[in-house]
Amino acid sequence: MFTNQPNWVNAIAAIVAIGFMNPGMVSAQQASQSFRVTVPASAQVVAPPAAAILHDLATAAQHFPLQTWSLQTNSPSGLVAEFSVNESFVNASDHAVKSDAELSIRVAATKGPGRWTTTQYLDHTSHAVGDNDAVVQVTSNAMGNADIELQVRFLNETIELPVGEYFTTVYCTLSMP
Amino acid sequence: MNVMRCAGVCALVLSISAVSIAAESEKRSNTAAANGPRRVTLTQTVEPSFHIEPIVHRFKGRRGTTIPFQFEIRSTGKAMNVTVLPVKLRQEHTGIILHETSGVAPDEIVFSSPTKFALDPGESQFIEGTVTIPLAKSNFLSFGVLVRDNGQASAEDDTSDDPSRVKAGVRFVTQYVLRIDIETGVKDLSQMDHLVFERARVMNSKGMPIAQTYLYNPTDFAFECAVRGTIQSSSTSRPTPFRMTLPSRVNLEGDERYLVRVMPKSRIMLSAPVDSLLFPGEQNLLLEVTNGRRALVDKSFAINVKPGDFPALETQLAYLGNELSVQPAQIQVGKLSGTKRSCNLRFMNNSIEPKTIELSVRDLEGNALSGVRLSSRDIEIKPGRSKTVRASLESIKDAKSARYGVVELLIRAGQNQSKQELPIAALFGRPPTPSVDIGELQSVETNGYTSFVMSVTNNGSCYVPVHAELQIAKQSGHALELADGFGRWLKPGETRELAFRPQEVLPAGDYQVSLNLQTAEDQEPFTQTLNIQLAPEVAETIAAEAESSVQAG
Repeated sequence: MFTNQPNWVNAIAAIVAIGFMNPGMVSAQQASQSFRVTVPASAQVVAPPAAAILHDLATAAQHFPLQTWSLQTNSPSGLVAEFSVNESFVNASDHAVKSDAELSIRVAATKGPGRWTTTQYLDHTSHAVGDNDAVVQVTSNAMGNADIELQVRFLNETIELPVGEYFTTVYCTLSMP
Repeated sequence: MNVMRCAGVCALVLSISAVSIAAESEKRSNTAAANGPRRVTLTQTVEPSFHIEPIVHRFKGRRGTTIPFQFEIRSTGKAMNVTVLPVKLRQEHTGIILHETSGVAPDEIVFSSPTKFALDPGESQFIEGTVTIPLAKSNFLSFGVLVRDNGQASAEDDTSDDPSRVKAGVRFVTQYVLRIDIETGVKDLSQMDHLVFERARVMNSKGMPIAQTYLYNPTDFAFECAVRGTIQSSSTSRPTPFRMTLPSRVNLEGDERYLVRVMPKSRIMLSAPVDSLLFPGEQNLLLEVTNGRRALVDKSFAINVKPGDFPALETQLAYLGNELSVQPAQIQVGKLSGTKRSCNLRFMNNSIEPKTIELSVRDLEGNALSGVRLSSRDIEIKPGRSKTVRASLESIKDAKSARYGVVELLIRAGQNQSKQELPIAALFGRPPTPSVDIGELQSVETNGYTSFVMSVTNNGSCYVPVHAELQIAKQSGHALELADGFGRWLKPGETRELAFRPQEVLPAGDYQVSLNLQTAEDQEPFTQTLNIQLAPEVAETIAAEAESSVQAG
């Protein structure tokens, strides 16, 4: 079948067909009609807002508050959510000054038949050796909801780091397996 | 599940999350008062984001044709700043398809709707365009579209503007990888011959045999196919093929589950439970890439199965040597509620020679066990055939207690002769309460790998099934789940060592180890939780730290 129409078009076509049926013909021929509704696979995410901390200068590693992401899918094959950074924390006024970022995730709560698994739960950048990526991943194998707790850490070898504002971007990428 | 209930629970979880953040802020503020400026501020609660559908379009179309597509995006609660772009796709070994952050995006996709737009809360927008099917010799093509909500530049926080302080910020960006999958119907699949099975094995997964392989696609084409596995041995007369699946499709039903999709330059992992009887000895795992009934690529891998490699399988069927097996491996007949008065023993001869079996029933002292009748006491099974013997309970007026024994099997094949036993429980009445001694959980270091062992002793007078699960959790929350026992009966007076062997090295550190040991169905499980510190270079007996809790059933 050459299906280049969105599913909702098919659904509307079925409804129009009901409106134009002739009742007399139905009773005479014992006609039957089947109806099919295709529910498209979809996904939804509730993302936390941006977050900020002040470095307390007590330890080199600084935790951001836990960020809760709510994920939801009706896909029978589940959902993949990948959290990633593609650069370390960068000083806003001097981009050569960097501090590593660490990501870790945990499945905090689930609902529905899907089993949620952290396929990669911890990763960090190592800008000194050219590794500017960190990726953690959670997957589900069926429809359902989950709350995922993301922990972002600001890593530095020492607490002696230049003052200023450091930023990074965490991408949450959703896809179907 | 109803939606209203779901929404309520979600809101509750989010509220708890907000409280915990506030508490952390306060704690850090108190510390800050003592040691200088430090503060954590999170000024917003969770906002809803966006909804998009479908995530994957699937079309059929011939090479060279152009197909229109449409996705609908809806902002569910906040203003959005959306970017849409075509992206190159990559595939992980699990089969999951994601986008490549570097690499050239496909030029077959042309958007007719804006690729940058703003959405107000509750507003919808269609992402529309066309995809032109290239002249590729592939039966399957997949194109990626990335839809990104660019998020906010910064939280409205009240952290200090003092330029002498170090401040760190994180921006969260949400993006979807949408796909347009196309079946091209191309019949010339000669490029598929380049697919390579790199390695394969039959591994233990929770005591059962699982065939696993890695398939590499070195070409620039994507393919959809199926992969078939077969266990072959020189003494097997009836090899049974089984179908391999990608981890990402293992939960699907019907033929969809067995669809193998492999993207260009990708390596995927495929696995399947071994459906055929897996006998100890040297044999081959034959793997074949198939399209319809046609096998396109095949490779054979030698495997060596040892007795005890798959203990869960051995509780279901008993190996009687040289490709002869019987199912079940543990026989229970009874007249109690939930038991059956008879049990069929199915003998299967997979070898290339005939076998004869003499059967008799004995009690645990070696005397004849009264009350159990066998439908045959002497059978012959031809190669590739099976035979069934029924064990049934006789009607004995005064019998009111459980009786235990073995079905003795004297097996002859040519000049060779061997003896085997199957445990049998005849439940004329309720079995006595099991009495089991559970030894201390110990860690063992072997070549850098840490495993855990414990002994279990049956001090009672009845057979006792034993199954144990061990969860090893790291501080980060990642947990390994291991099992042993699998319900295999422990004879009266018998001691067995249960072993839990992680397939990965456990680095030094703190762990929480949780044991759950189940015996008879009506008995409370034995549970134990230990907080331990592992130093992998030293073999040690686990000494439970402060939070050790033991509940014996």
